[in-house]
Amino acid sequence: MRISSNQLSTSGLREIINRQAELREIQLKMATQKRFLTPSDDPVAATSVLNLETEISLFEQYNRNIDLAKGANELEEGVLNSVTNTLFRVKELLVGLGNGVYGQNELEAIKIEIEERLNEMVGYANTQSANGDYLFSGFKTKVQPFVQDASGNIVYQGDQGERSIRITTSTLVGVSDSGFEVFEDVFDGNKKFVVSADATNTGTGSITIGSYQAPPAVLAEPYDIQFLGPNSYQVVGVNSAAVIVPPTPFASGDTISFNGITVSVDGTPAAGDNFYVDPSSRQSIFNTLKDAIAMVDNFVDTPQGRAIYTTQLDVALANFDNAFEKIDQVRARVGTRLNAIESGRDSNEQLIFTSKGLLSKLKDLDVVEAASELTRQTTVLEAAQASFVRVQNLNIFNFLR
Amino acid sequence: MSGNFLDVGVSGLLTTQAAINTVSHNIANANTEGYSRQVTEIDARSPQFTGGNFIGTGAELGAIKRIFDIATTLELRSNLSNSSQLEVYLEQASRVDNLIADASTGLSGALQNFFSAVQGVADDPSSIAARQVLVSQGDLLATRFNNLVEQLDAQTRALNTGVRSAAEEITALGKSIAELNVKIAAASGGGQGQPNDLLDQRDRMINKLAELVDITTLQQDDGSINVFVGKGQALVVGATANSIIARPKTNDPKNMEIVLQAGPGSVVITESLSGGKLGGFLRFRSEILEPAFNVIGRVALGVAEQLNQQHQLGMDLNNNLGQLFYTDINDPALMSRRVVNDSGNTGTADIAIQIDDTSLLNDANYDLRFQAGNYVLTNLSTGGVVASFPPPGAVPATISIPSEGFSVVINSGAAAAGDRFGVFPTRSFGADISMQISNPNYIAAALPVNAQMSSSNTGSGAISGVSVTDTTTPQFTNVPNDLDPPIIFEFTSPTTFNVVDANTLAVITGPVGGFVPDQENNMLALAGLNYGYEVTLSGAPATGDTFNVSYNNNGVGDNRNMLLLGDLQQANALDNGTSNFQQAFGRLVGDVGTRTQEAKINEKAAESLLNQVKDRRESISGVNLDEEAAKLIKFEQAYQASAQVIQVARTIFQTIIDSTR
Repeated sequence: MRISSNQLSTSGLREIINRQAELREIQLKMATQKRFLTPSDDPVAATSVLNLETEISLFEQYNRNIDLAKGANELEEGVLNSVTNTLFRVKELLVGLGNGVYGQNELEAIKIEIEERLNEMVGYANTQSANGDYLFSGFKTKVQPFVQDASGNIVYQGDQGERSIRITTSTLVGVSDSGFEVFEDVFDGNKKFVVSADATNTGTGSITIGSYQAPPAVLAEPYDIQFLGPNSYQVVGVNSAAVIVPPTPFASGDTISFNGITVSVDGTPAAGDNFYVDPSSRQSIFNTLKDAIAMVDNFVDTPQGRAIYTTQLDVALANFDNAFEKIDQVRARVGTRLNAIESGRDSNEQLIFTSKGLLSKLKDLDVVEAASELTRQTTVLEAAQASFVRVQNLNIFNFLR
Repeated sequence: MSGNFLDVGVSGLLTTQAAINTVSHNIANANTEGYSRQVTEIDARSPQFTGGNFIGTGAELGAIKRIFDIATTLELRSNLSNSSQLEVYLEQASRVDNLIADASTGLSGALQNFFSAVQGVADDPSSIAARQVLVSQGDLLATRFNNLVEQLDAQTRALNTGVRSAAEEITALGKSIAELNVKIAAASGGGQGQPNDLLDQRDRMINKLAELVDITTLQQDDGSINVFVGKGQALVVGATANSIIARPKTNDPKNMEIVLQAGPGSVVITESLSGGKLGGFLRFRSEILEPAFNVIGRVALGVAEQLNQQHQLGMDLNNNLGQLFYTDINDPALMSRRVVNDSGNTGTADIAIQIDDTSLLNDANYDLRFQAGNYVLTNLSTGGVVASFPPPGAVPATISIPSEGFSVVINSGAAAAGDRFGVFPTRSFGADISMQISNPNYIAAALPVNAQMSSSNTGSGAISGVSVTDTTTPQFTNVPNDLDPPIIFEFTSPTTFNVVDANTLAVITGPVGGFVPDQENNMLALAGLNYGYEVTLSGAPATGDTFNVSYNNNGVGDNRNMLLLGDLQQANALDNGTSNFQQAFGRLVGDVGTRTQEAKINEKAAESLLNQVKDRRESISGVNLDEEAAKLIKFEQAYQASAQVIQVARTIFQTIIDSTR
């Protein structure tokens, strides 16, 4: 093939320039440690890289959420722990109130500690987080959840909102419980009904908190257990005024059963004494303690007074146990959430690990391979340059002298 | 007789001189671009018949020819067109390729940061710091959209300049070729010699033209060449050259169209042009630049629509309903900007485009034409007619085009027959999007509705969820920061309830049946009330149990709306419900990357083809200095020999003269 002199130099130069371009690319890859420099080098990988990076940043955000969720739940767990410790002490105090040999003075001393413990409890319920948000006021985090109203009752100011945050693509985890849920959502008595003795009773009868049988028997209207004499009683529906249980003979310790309700009365009631059975309603732990305090305040050290006191104390203990149980439930739930948070973190970490591995495969340069490629390209370029100079010097005109 | 061989010697001298001249010309032009080497053809003169024999009379100059192959020349031209088209395309495409994927200019990072900030507010809804971060990141996201469009705009302007100068260059080259045609035709009149250097010069011009745009040529008998562009539109015919002009499109002034001006008449040839620099610009514009504008605009529309919608369902730190987060996608000014009236329109129609559903939008531009009494809407990407409708009876009128996700709004006036409108539903929103919220208190992290069970309830009924779907209902708008009215669900039996006005305690509706205990019950749907929110109740409420639904005043710790906003990151809100924001944008990155990669590969192939043809041309027409050196030696020797002949003749004459003394 015929070759023109021009061709000889341009094609030689072209090859040198091509080699230089390849060398530059390899050098840039080495400098950036990337397998490809622009999306067009590998469009499929480039799109996957964008998606993977988004995914990784999302999971990392979830892990930050997890840190927060963990902090919030641990704070709540800590507060509930303190509440529980206080409740243990209160339980001792309440049991102490049941000591039959204690007189007015001893009871008064216990009552004063209960009052203190009550304040302590309200303090816990009004705990604020580091940024000033109340832990137990639902969505109204700037509103103090528990305050004393004009009549001395501790009332809830928050709402029933419970905040949650996202910790994995599919999981939301709770980070707060409302004060209603923790302290207020407690049914009194045996959670089905609550008993009481009329304050004007003249006998020494006291009533147990009783138990409730499952349906078909239905608890409905409030009931009045009326003693017709020490040995006879009847049960009347308060709303309907209907006689539910006709006059029946009675002895101390007898059980009285009707409409699913089973209670027993101890001691000796007098004619005209009344015991009431009301459907359970919600009573906060604070009001339960308030009731206990009022009970001591109203204590009259007579056989009649002691009988009324016994009934009230039984109910107070039952109410207290219900509240304690509720707080235990919430604590268990917080524990479950902390577990969910940990397993959420594990799953996120796993996904981040997998995605990062994939990302690295798509994105990162194989340095060893690139280095050997660099060496090879350098050698090729040097050879091209050397041969170019040699070839360019070959010309007949060199000899025409 | 003796005078004859002196004459033969002289003829040898003259022809060798001419040959040496040609060799020198070749050597001088060894590096001239497009030069074809020339050879001297030397013929023997007609012999003289003397005494029954033919006696040679010496040599004469035949012709000086250029060595040239027409097939290779044509091949070179088409390869030049192809290669320079790909070169321009690749150069432009690489810029977009780098722009959209770069972490500091692309969209992915900004989207990630924005949604992280949303999560930040969800984590701590009452934190002003977290809200401030969200406001900043929201602003950054909008700015990122704006910057991307700005970059593409700058590239459009550069491209328009390129198109215009290519058109000017084509016109100038056409004129030069026409002038050379005249010279060549005149020079080729007599004799067998050709104006080799003029021919080379014209070939060079035509090659330059081929680098600008794909051409076809036709050789005429008189030696002139006619040049055609596009689909046979004449640029040069003999001595006449027409002009190629780039001017703004009448229905899309942002982009250029190419017009062939022949005397008083002109014809738009944009669509029929291909190849060369110009073809590369035009192909890049339609394959990458326009779609890029539209994808970015479409993602911006999706982001704005989804965030606005969800944000407006929320409640801010001041207990007010959420405001627009980003620019309203159907702001009247923006709606009008999506339509361009053709400058040749004679009607008065004022037309706008209203976006109805961003998930149905595609990346096409449209052409709306009023013809034969109907508006006809054509998708310019597919060329298909997507809708045809008669002019509305009364204006303003909104004509929904459900398949495309938008409506044509005729604000006023009427179109005249033949009126055209450029329709660009998505193109500009990337530039238009901006953050509407600057005060962190206005971030609507909460939902405006809160439902509570009454503490005196005895049943197990519980609120399992509240959702808000529309805050423009009278229930939300009548009284600021309150529901009108707040309501109470009051159970009249385990399966029936009344909806009660919480202010007046009047029963709004009831008893409503159909409540199924221990199952999720949508209370307002059961009651047939459309208040713009829904409350879901589960469990088994007892008779007399009540649930209060009220405005979420002071719900500063509520993050429900932020969680919903955060979920939008993963929501498949675009591409007919198949892509989330990141994926829709990622597809642009993939598409541009693929096209750029394709261009890279094709450009390499085209370059190597071009080099092969160039080599072939060089191999045929190029000057080899060694060859010329050899010829030089050969002709030098011939010259010396011819001179020796003359010397011999002189000696012979001298001998004769001396003998007569």
